[in-house]
Amino acid sequence: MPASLEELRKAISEARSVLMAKPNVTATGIGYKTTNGKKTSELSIICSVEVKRPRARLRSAEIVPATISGVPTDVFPTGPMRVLQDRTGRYRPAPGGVSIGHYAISAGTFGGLVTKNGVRYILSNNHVMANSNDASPGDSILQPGPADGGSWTNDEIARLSEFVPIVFEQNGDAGRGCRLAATAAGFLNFLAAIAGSRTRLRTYTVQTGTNKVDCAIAEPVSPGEVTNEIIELGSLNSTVEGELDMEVRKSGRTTGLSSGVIQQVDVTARVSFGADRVAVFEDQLMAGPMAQGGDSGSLVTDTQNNAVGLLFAGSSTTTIINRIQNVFSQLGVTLR
Amino acid sequence: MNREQTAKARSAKAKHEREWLAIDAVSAVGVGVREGEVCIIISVDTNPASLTSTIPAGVDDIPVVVERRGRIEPL
Repeated sequence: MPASLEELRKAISEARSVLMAKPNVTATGIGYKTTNGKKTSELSIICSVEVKRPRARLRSAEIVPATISGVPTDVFPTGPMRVLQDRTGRYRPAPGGVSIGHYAISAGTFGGLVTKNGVRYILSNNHVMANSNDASPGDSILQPGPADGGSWTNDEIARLSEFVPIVFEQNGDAGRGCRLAATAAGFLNFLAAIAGSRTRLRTYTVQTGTNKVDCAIAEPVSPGEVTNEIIELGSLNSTVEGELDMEVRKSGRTTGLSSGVIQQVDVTARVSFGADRVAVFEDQLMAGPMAQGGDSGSLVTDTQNNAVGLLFAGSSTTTIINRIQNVFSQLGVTLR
Repeated sequence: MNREQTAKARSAKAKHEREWLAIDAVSAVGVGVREGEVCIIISVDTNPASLTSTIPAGVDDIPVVVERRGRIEPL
């Protein structure tokens, strides 16, 4: 006869302290037993463990009895338990991975700390801390960012020091580019339409510079208000070149800790910064979807906590990452 | 990873990417691996089938793969 819910509650309240004393059990609860990978209709006491190992490889103190007071048990692997932290709150000292932003933007991510001439700076994106070029050194950087309630009066954590300007594409159709090219493209697109093709050409002028990075640094108003740790990643070891098939991770304001794989290298990407503002970025890394809006500025690492890149853009299926070597060389910074 | 093949793909990409990036639907061009083979990957924000007549299946002995990846924006 299956145990009733009341019987289970009584059994678990009596056994909980014994079960939780086992070194491998991280949680106990009531739920349907799973047998051979299939959920059954039988209620059981479920003991959560990080990793489920064969009974023969367990010490006696780790073994969960098959029944407790006649009630069946089950062991469920959950992986490591961790505290889910709200990255949008106010942190002092503030670690990498939390909300940050220039006072005039919404919010991005505090990537981590870098050093220049012996001074520690917060590293993030230009579009997070320098408002996509529309900022001046000395501007207030808030933690949390304005979209997360950060205010100019209470939450200033740093002041903008430097940023690498983003070079935006000049749209030929807007009249600043080559009129002849625009006319030619228009004519070719007209012919393409007549021929039934949906492919369209666009005109653009060659940029006066090449973007390789979207980055900025800000000096903390007080060194004690920041910490070298990155939430759920810890501290960084070194830097490493991003390569195809490399497994990477990031700790960001919106999606927290996430992982992915470098799927493409040497990527040239057209990034839309809103109304009629497009910038082309060269020498980028592309990973699968591992970030959402607000994660910009996250440091991307390999599995050994070596910095690989600085996350700054993406779509629903992709993540675009500046190479950390380009970020460090253009800003003239180091990890320590 | 075949470094020689990757270098060849990078070179072919550099030679042709401007013409591909001039196509309205193209959002990125990079080098990756598909089915064990180093190739040039063109990310687009439209149905890849609509570009088969415009983008070749290969250049300089390097396969060219077109994938729908959506519009790329700052996050």
